Amino acid sequence: MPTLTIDGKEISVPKGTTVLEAAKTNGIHIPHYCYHPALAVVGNCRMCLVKIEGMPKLQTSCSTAVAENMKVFTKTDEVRKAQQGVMELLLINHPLDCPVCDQGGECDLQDFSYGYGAGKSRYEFEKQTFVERSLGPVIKLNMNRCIRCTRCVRFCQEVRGKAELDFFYRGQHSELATYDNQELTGALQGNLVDVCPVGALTSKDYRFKSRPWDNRDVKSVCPFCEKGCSTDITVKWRTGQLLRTKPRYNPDVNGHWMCDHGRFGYHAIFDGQRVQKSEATIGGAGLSVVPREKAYAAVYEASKRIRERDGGSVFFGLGSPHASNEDNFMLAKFMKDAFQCAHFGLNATEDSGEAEDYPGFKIPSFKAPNLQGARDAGITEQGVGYAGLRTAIGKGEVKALFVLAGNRFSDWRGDFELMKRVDLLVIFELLPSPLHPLATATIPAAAWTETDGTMTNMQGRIQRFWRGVDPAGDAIPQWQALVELGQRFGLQGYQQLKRAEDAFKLLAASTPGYAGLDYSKIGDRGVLRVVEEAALAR
Amino acid sequence: MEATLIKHIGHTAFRDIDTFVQGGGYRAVEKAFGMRPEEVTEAVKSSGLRGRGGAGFSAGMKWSFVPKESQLPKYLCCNADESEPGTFKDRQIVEYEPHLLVEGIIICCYAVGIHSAYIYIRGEFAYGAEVLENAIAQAYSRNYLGRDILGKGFDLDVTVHRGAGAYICGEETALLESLEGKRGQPRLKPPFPAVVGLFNGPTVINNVETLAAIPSIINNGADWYAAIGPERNRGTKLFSVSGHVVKPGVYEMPLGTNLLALINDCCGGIRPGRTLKAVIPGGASASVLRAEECNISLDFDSLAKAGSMLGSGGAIVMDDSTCMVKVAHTASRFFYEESCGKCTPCREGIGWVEKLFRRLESGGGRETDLALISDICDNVKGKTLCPFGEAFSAPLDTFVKKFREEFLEHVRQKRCPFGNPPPDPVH
Ligand SMILES: Cc1cc2nc3c(=O)[nH]c(=O)nc-3n(C[C@H](O)[C@H](O)[C@H](O)COP(=O)(O)O)c2cc1C
Ligand code: SF4
Ligand code: SF4
Ligand code: FES
Repeated sequence: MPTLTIDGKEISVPKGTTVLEAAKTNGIHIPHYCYHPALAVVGNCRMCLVKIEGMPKLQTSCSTAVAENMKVFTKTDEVRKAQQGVMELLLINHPLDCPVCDQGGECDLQDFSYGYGAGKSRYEFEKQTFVERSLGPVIKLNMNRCIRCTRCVRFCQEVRGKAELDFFYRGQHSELATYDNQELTGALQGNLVDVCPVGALTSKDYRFKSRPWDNRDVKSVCPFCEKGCSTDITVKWRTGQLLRTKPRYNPDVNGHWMCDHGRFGYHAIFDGQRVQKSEATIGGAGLSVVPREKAYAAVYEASKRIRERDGGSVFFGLGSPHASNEDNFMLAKFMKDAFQCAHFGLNATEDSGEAEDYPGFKIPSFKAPNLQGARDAGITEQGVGYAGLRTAIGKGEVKALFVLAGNRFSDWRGDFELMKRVDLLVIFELLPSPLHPLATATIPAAAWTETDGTMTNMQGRIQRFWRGVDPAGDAIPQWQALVELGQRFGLQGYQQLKRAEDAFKLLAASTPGYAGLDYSKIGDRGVLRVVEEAALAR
Repeated sequence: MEATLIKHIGHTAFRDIDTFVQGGGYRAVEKAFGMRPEEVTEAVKSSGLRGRGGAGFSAGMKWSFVPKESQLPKYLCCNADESEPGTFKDRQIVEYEPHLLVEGIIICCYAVGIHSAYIYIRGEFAYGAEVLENAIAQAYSRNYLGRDILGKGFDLDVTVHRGAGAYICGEETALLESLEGKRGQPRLKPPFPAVVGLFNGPTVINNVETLAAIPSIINNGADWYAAIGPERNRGTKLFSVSGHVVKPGVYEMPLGTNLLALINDCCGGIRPGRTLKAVIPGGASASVLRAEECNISLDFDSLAKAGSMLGSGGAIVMDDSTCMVKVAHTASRFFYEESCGKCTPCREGIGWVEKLFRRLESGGGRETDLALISDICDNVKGKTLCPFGEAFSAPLDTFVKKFREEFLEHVRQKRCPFGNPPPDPVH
């Protein structure tokens, strides 16, 4: 561990660490553009110059490895002049169109100009201009704003694994483009927006929708595959509108990136007709909108009749890898408490078979986030998933069915006739479920952005997501609806379950591998559940 | 003093391998094969030969930096990109002494343990490339190249690669990128090419003239070479002299030759009726010398001490009819067009400086422009990724500092006092 000083502060860092990284981990900020922790070091922006004692020229801290007894200075007059010089030069041909630029407010060019620039320019000539270009379905390029740091080029080469983006022409004329003006390909394009430190690459999806100071970011987890990338969801303060999803750095899961399926997947939920009201069939009539309590009452009455007629064994809980640990746990708990029923299955367990392997990022093929968590939470499958359920229904063994995330009923084969043999069908749904017309009662469910909770990804990593926006209409977290339903059934202890974490603590207490966990212990990056040797042996 | 580098300049006969061999050619290869490789490197080291591509680094030292054992193949890249304005000396070797170059390449590769060499030749030198190709084909046919050369168990392949018209590809790491088929832009150093070079293998990069000097060092001995020229600046050098002299051309002279002697004795002096005003001694990247500074020894150290450099040895001589603002603008325009654009200070700085020079030459400049140019140059100097930043910021700043009065005269008269029209627009 070499020991060096940076601005007089003594620090020790592992051998091979660069001066820039050493400074960063010790709270000293050195401005930089081309450096990105996950990309090759190229040293082209020259923003990170520092003074190193004994070296005649200033050195790029991004590319200089620390050495024993090295003395680094980041704030000398010489360094400041160099920083001001680079800033001025970066801006002479820059349009300074911050008021109409998407990046404005979250832009390194703005920030470092304020922090390290001279605050004025001496350039009086015409600026160089380029026309705006589309780089494919996701990205818009405004070359005027580009500082040619080549982060995007390196991203395509190193992470996406296809050299489809590069600079053409030379010097000040150099212009970013794709070969033959083809569209960018692959499912990692959105990352280019994050990787670009300025407003040159903007997202066609997000552009012009908001300004950063009107937004807040809420920590979340991507629910579109079993990888479970850590994300931030951006919410507009005033309207509560969900604006975009960005990857949140998590070295244990997704690093700096996420895929476009996850990034833009929220549209599938939020652009659709969200279910906003609960509905129930009252007195033999068809479904009609009712207050939630009425729906619960309908479920209670029907359950009572069926139970008296057929006993508890005809009740079946269909959990979902699209629902949280809390949701699945409460379904299992409610079924057991109310009906002493132990019949469970999972819907939407089919693998898409569409894995994507990029050199720097792997996208798994199973497109639901919480298969592991649902199983852990007590949805131990009976028979063979939905196929088993169909057989059971056919034999008349299932008369009451409770379905989580009914909108994600991807296993559904359109067998309405079969489903009619179920007397009580309760569906929790974000969007109308294909089974909706057959339901006895439906409850509008909150999306992952609208509630707190946890999911357990393919690694067995338990991850936390936070409520960022208000639920649509009367939507309610599924675990909470099950708590309310339990209260209507007069079940013991349901009064005390007020927050998602209460449900989680019960889950933790009864689930091997989750023992002793609470939300604070899970933290931002999640924790691996402890798999006991006994469980592994099984 | 006998020429060793361009003995046959003007005589196409020596492109033919038989004529060349009859004149004593390829004898150095045989002699070198009789030595151990380390001995060859040692001889080049003690000869004092310094690189002729501009930086003047000891050739023998450079060879000795290449690791003996390497997992990856080692390479030699002969730098024949010669694009420095005012420089046209490698071209003479390529066109009139192609076998001398091949001979130097074989010896270098033998010394360093290299089995594949590339000659990266400036794209515009189509003719020179053809001459080289023919010479190489002949050398293969006589087994000076190829497998088991001269029965000594040494293999070597030489390939000619033509550049695509970028000055920056003469910079050694940009050359490597270009050879690899990538955008010709410099790499961050370290690692240095001697350790990680072409296709990641250890690589020697030497200028044409450097390699062409090797055979005579081997033939005549290191001591013979080390006796030519002043301390630390040994051997003969090619000087390409252009501009306002009576006989412009390429002259081979010992290092340490006086600049005025080169102009007057070799080149027949300044053209009649005119007086010397200034000389750019080492290609456009070298800082200009005023007439009164021209009584100077042409060697690496003396020119560095005078704030300029020997560079490529391309001397651009200017008489009193020359407008130095126009010269400065012309130089800035070249660098503006040739900056590769990879790093910020060079890419942006040179464009700005070119515009300021243009405005000054057009008569629209201000006195404050001079300080501004100097300050921009200062913000570039020492802050770029490759030496190109210095290559323009130092000489352009020097124009402003040494010819301040002439610049101010443009400002006062609001036109070029030499009557030059405003420069054409750049595209
Ligand atoms: C911008 C730039 C252009 C260069 N152009 C050439 C060139 O055309 N030919 C050359 O031999 N060296 C050129 N060089 C120098 C090379 O980088 C390198 O130092 C040289 O080829 C090494 O050979 P030497 O040691 O034999 O001189 C250039 C350097 C820079 C920075
Ligand atoms: S588009 Fe953005 S990431 Fe790409 S080179 Fe330009 S500034 Fe850098
Ligand atoms: S100094 Fe100029 S030529 Fe060298 S890397 Fe930077 S932009 Fe390219
Ligand atoms: S961050 Fe170091 S040169 Fe760009």
